[in-house]
Amino acid sequence: MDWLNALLQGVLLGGLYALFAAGLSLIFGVMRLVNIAHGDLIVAAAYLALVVVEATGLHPLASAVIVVPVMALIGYGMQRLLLNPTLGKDLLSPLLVTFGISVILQNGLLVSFTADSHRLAAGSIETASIEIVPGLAIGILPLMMFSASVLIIWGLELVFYRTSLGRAFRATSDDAEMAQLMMLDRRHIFGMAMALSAAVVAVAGIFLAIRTNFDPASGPARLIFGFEAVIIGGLGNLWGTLAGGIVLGVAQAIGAQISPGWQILAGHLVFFLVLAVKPRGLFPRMD
Amino acid sequence: MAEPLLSVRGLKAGYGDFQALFGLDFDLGEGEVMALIGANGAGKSTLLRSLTGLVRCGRDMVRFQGEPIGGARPDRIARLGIGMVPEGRRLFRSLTVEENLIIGGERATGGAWTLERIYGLFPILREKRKNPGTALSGGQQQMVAIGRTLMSNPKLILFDEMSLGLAPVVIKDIYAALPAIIGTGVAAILVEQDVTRALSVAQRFVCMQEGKVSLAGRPAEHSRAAITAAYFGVAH
Repeated sequence: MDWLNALLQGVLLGGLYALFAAGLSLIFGVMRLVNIAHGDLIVAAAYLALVVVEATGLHPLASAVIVVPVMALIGYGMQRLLLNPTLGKDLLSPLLVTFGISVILQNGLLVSFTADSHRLAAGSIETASIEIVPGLAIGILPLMMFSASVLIIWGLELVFYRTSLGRAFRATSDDAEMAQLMMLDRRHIFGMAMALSAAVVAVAGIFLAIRTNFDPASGPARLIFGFEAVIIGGLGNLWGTLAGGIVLGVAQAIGAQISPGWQILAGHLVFFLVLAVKPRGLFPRMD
Repeated sequence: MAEPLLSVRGLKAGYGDFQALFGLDFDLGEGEVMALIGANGAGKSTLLRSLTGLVRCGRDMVRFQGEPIGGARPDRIARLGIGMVPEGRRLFRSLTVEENLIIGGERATGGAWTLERIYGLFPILREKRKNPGTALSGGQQQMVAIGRTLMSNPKLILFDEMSLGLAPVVIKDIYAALPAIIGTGVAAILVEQDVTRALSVAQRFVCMQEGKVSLAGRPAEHSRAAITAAYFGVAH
């Protein structure tokens, strides 16, 4: 039963990792950009949620009504002002800019909020659980995270495959030059992609803040988990990213079951195993 | 005389340190069809890329409907009414045939060309509309590429190597559709390897050699020998 429990918790944890990863996957898919600052944006969103909760007294989950649109705006602005001017020349310059954003965010948060760790108190849902069978319970919060993750990925797929904006994303990803000849202003398209990514980041940040302690240096680990989930799932496939998150979550939960020290390492080992056996990930959709 | 639709003056352009165009001049009127001929490396593709904004050039070197557009962003130039059917078709491979057509038109202001009318011109595309664009034969892909550009209802279409890599019978089909396209009053610049075919549908031609205009005029005004000489750069 312990192992079954570990497996179940791992799957649910995978939902959170998929949330970390979805925005990363989206940005890479549309503009071939690896956003090194992704993890730090998640942590920045967590701090934003903290500020909103302290200022308004809203429930952490309800703070999403403010955090999500604000993060989307920040994402759009960041893309238009900082990243667009560097895109297209080579792959290195935008990568370095995101690295710079990462460093600035971490230090900016350190100055504003000190190195103390914080957590968002979400009340009773933190510990509430449903017992499926005796001895096997599902936490409400992990279940919410997982459901949110599935809903968000489903929503992103709808945007990608059923809307005009999604068509523009895919066309730009296929052939950026031809997309411009189709009257697509790629500065705006890229801005919208980053806004969407940042909106997902906002949700991930809120869940992160409720689930664990976070401090200004928490970002890079989130980037690594997200990155691993994207690679395991296969580039350009959002459902694959969810699968990648689940694989990573299960690996960590089973590792933790073996010994607490094995939790993170087990995840990395599975990541390396997938890279070695299927370098393009389990469900690649992109060349 | 009325203002020409497109006016190119002293056009110089290139890639980095490499200059491909050395001062081109020509005009194109509303609804006119111009054949752009010349050997490989003469600068035909660079010229088309300059007209669409994919290669930078000076602002006043290209005027469209009297407005200087040289060096403007490609999406802005497309909005003004210059469309291109690119060499090698370049369909969006993650889009279906129908999505390829829709994306061509959905940001345009509208006009005579609609999805229905494209399907009327190329009925096979209606059958294949749910297929990925790249799952089609070369000729069908070319039809999608033409349809995609038509959907934006441009005032000027640039056809780059429309028949390259296609079977002769397919080329005949594609050219059979040309009168229906040009008949709507759209102007066209036709870059074509097959000089005879290009000259037969064009009212005017520009022959390029080493980034300059080597001969221009109406096909009937010049002997075949003069055009050949301008094409290959041999003295006559």
